[in-house]
Amino acid sequence: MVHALSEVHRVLQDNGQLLDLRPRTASAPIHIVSAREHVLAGEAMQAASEHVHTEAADAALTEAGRRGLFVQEHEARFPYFYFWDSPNEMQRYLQEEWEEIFGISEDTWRALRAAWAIADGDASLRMEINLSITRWRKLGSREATVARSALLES
Amino acid sequence: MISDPEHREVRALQDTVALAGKRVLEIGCGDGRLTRQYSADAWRVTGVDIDAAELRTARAGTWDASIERGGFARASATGLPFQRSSFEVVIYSWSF
Repeated sequence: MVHALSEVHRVLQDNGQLLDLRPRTASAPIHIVSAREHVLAGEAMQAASEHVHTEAADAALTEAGRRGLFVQEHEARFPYFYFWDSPNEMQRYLQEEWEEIFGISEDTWRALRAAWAIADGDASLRMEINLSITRWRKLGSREATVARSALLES
Repeated sequence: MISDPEHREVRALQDTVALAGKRVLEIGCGDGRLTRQYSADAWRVTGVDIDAAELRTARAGTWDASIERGGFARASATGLPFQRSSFEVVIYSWSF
């Protein structure tokens, strides 16, 4: 992670911008949505390994800021939605694409299928993930020198 | 499966950085899902990913001039095949 940030720093010109766009979600609510209603049917839980990645990335970026490589300028969060036409389609996708990222308990699948059985004809399944977008600016050489001096003095 | 039908992700990107006239590097571009949505905003866009299959899908698409200037490359974030100060914007896309 630290090495990757060093590479980003190298290829960016001074005052260039790094955008960090990634999921920040420990759990992802699953709704059955139709034109008539939105019903919470369960949630997917993020794998523990993903928490570790997120924390490592945060630590590396914090350290890069402390060392005067980048300064954070902006952060925002927003929901990102996935839609499936049926529980079977959703389950296949999760198994094939996200097996190591999200898990859904057997109890949740049962509840979700039970809710789906009485859902409206135009219903679909919607999973909500929280995304963050953070803008960092690469400090120019003079600013970086000042930041490093301040770090040494602290 | 349909993802982000309201294009919230690219709108957040466009609200966060001005890409006009910029040289942009997207790390973790995958099949170009996000790249396709903002590439016309920038002057030159280069996408890199370590997944060869995803890159084949990306390259098979029809792209605007910004991608024709930059293109796609197989590369790791820890060994970017570009010279110092090559970009004004780097997008780290779902890859940290």
